[in-house]
Amino acid sequence: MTARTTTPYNPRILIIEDEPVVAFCLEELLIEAGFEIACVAGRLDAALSVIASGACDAAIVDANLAGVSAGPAAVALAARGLPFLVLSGYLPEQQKSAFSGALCLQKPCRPDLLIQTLRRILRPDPDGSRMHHHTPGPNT
Amino acid sequence: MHTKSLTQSSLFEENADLRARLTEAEEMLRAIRSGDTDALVVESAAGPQVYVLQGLDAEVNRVRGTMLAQVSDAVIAVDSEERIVYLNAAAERLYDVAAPRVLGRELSDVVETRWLHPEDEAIAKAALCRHGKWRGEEIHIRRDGSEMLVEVSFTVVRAIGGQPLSMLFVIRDVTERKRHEDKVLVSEIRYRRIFEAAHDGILLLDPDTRKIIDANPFMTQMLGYPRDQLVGKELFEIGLLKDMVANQEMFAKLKVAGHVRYENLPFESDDGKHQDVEVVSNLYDENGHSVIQCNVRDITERKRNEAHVKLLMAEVNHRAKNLLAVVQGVALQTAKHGDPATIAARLSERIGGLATGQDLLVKNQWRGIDVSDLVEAQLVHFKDLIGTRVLIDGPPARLTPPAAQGIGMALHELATNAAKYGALSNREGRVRVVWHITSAPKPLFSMSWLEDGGPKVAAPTRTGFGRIVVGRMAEAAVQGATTITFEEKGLSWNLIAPVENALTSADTGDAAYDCPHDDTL
Amino acid sequence: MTKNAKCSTAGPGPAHYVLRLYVVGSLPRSMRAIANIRKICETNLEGRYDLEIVDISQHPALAEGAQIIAAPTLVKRAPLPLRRFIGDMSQTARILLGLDLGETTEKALSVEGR
Repeated sequence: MTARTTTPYNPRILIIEDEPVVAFCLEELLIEAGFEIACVAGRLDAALSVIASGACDAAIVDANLAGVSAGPAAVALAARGLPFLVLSGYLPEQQKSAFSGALCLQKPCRPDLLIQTLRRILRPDPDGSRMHHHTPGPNT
Repeated sequence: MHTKSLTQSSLFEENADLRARLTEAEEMLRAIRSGDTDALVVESAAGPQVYVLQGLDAEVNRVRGTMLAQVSDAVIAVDSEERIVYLNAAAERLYDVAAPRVLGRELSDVVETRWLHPEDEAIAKAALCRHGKWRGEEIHIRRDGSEMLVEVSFTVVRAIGGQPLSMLFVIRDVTERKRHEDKVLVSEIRYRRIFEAAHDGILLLDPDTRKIIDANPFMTQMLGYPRDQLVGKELFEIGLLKDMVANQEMFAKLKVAGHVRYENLPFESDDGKHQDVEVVSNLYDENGHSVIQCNVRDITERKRNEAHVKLLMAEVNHRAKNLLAVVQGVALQTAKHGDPATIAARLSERIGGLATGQDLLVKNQWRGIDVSDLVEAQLVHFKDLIGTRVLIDGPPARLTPPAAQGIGMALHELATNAAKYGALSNREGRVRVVWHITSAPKPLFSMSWLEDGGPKVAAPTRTGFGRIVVGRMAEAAVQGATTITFEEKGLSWNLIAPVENALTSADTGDAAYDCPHDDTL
Repeated sequence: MTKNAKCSTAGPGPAHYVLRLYVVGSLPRSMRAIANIRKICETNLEGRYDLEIVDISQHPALAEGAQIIAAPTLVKRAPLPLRRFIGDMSQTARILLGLDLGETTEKALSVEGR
């Protein structure tokens, strides 16, 4: 893990999305909301290496990356205790088990709902096990 | 006329008549006395009684005769010269004759017969010689010429000394029975044929024992058991029903409703092959006793198809949602970066570009898309200029769907831009769209959009969404690099990407972007 | 009456005979009588006779009507006069005579090759 200042806490978000237009919009949206972007990865292998290198603190995961399931990325994130939400064109019942239990939003997603959900998963747990500080952005 | 001679002749006649009658009476007495008769007829209060002088009692004879009259089979007796000495009422009816008329006549005169098979004659004769009797089938021909199939038994009746006295025939008309048997046989053959050839499995079960009594070939094939291993077993023993309890349930239901349907039973055959079957059972009455018929249909294929359709539907849904997300993104960006007056028009154009790209994807079933197809599609508004003011050139190459999407959108932006401000906005400007593949040092795909002859252009001051589309977005789509320069003669745009990111593999024509299988969901 | 070379001049001409033989079941004389009278009819009356065999053990009442007192009895019912013959009908000559198919007739017929 890279050494960094702990206050104010600004989590680095990994965007895992293969559709260029959607990726671009997500990126813009997050930046405007005050988030820092760790990386935009369009392919599973790129995403996995970012996760492995510890360069991200949370992620927005597109369930399907050009025909390949992003399930392994979800598993890797969960293994490190990193919060993430899933964006998907599939209905919940059609989702693979790797994503079960994760927070799932349907595409196309309302920008405000997305930001709201992201902030929520970054909030600390009641038992304080996850010490995330919530940095209010311009759009909160 | 002489009265004397008349009287004389009539007297003579009367005399002769009396003499004859006397002779007759004397003759009768003589015959009786000398034992030339079989029986005497004596008057009694109950009517004439026939007394047989030797041998059988007439009453016994009469009773026997009455019995034989009741018998429905025809009975005929003949003497050693084959003359009829007796025939019963049934025989009279069968051959349409009257006993008084045929007694004493040769049997062959009265009854016309034909052997069923030529070899029967020899067999019958041999049987008669050896055993004194024979039973078999013959054809007898009625007086009206019609034929009937009969079952005949002959017996030789012998005297105490052993010499043949007479022959007894008992004849039964079996024409109807034969006809019925033939009908049943045809029906049986027909049923067998259906049973054997059916493309569904058929099992026959005994409702009381619950055991299989027959299985057709399709069934044995389906289950992977030979027929003799199925017969005698209960359904749960061959894995068709889960256990004895399920078995009893089915039979109970059948008894009540006469009909049971299991739409989906999982079944595992001996060799571990898994199948899904539909079982329809019916309780039938088969000529007095009941039988259960189970029709078993393998629906594995059907289920697989249903599952596949479901998969495809989910996929379509996913792609539609994806596309909507893209549209949403394009809308947001267009609104953000564009001139408010033209937002709607620009958005509409862009969505049109997306639609064109989508059409190509579908047409190519989400596999590789030909570069020149893509270029032509996005330049459809200028198709009359292709070959003159618009030149398209490059080797055959197929882009992956993501690459096609990104490059397609870039081309759309470039074309829109050229039409508004660039080489296609006047009458002399030209556009060249070219691409090539280099192999050394690394395989690279390179594409260029080159304008000239258009009005003088200057680099734009603001970074509109279009700039992002031909820049970052196109780059992201192919994991490559783009450059855009605004030269004096016109705009130049270039894209370079590693071949493996942009193009489909030459052999299969399939990209990594395949329709996902079960495991990706 | 036309004189045919085959026809005998001695006989009374081709008359139709109606004969009835009364018998008792399958008793020996009855059986013989049936056979014999058939033969006689077939040989001498071909095509112009009606022979009925009546079993009086089955139908005793028929015996009464014809005043039969013993069996076998043959009754010539036509042509008239009525005649009766008793026994097993083996005495062919006597029967033929009684039926007016006399010896001379028989001889003539056989000579003519009938």
